Amino acid sequence: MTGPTDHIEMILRRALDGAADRIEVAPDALGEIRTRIKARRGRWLRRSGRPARPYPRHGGLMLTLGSAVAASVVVLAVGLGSCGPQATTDHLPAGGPTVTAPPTGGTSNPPPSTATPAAHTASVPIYYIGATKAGSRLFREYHTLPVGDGTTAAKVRAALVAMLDGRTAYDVDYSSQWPASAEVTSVTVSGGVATVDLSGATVNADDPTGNAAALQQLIWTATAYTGGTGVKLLFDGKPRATLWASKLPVAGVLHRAAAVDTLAPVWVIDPQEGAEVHGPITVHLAGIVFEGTIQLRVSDAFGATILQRTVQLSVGAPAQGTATVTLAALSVGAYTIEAYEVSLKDSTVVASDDHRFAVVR
Amino acid sequence: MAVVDQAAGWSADEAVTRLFAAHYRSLVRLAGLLLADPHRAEEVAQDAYVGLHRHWSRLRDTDRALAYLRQSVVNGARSTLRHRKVTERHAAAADHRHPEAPSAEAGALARLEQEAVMAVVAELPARQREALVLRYYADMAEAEIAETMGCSRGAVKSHLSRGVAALRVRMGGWS
Repeated sequence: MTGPTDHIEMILRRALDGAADRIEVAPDALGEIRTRIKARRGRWLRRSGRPARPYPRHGGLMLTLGSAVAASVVVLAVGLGSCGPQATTDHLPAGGPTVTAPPTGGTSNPPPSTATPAAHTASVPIYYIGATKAGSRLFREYHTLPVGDGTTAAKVRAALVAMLDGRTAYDVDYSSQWPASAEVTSVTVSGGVATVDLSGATVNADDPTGNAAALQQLIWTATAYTGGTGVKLLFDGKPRATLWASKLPVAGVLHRAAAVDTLAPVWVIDPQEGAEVHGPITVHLAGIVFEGTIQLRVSDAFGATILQRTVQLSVGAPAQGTATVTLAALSVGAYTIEAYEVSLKDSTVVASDDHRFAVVR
Repeated sequence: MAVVDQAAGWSADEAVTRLFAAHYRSLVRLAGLLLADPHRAEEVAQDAYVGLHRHWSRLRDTDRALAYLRQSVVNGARSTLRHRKVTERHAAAADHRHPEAPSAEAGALARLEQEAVMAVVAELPARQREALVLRYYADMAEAEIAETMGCSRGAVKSHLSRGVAALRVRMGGWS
């Protein structure tokens, strides 16, 4: 009764089980995981020049913070015309985060500093890809990068170089889906259109969704400067009609796809992943969510929730709404801030973004 | 439901410890089958647990935690493959085809067949390999595979049928 498909399935199961049985695990893997978790917890304090030390017990922290935070949370919905983060136009560098110092996690990040950036560095927005329930979607981070002579073309180039290597993202959940070999050969900007010449970029994994997200990742990053409207792509100096196995059209001037189809439904913009903050904390959120309703939660290094509330964004889906929330100063320590959308149907979390940050003295 | 209630009360550290005991070995093996690189497989599985610790306040449920761990492993494997140069990938796949000598009890013919199947699996497009490994190693239903891979059930069906078809063609001599 066994058909040919059943037979090949049986052979496949047997082969996978056999191969899996030969994969051994390290004897002290749990110890290794705990060490890495501890390193993440301690990273924030060490970075500020102090030795890592035990965090306050969360029971005490909750007592200290409970009433203070609840009493002093102020939610300010900001319109798209304000200086807050915006859905479709990013300003280089004025739209950058106001609270965070650049984290040090990425490979091409500048040294951490709270001082005024040296000449020829700028805070540039970079779009990365993250997994969401709707598939690969874009998240944005601001990175302070050396930008050569400081021209718009130099800023776009710096942003694209960092973007192509997704490992530069501060948030480990973000990545790039460009091939590892892709490099920027040149960038010129004229009349709102950036012409970007890439090398080593024409072969990529056969992944239609990821490929489409990767192309948008580049377009959104390369049009993030004020007045940026489009991108022309060259590959080894020549235009192409289509790109990769999924045959994405890349001829002529390329424009941003609709935000609702491209951006992740929920962003925590500030504090950025790995940021160090002190004093009152300004939280910037953005989301393309039903009726602009989003949940905000802050938890401590032990995972205990110290603040949870609903935030109303400036506008609901399909536009990207934003909000700024000011929190009272928190005790020194490591925290996670999460923004998430809850389904009205079944109360499950349908989209979320989270960042770890440290409060320093 | 008692299990869920119990998990909801776990601290992040406790969740990592308990879910490590329950799933770590199978997750390393899942990563190993996707990557053909045992060392990197351990790193990918450990990354998943570090992420679990970080996201525990949102998960607080053993089923969701396992789904998260699997998704992390699949995403970690994808990310590794993406950054691995083509030549290295081929070299690793070649190494994988010639591991240590077959053990006496395994049976030389069975081992040869397994190696031949794994060689074909290693050369399949990544999504087909993921779907096959999740279906036939992890015994997951199509809906679970779709959630883990971040794609539709229709896409899972397509990856599975294409993967099996490719195997059937390449393994004709063994069936």
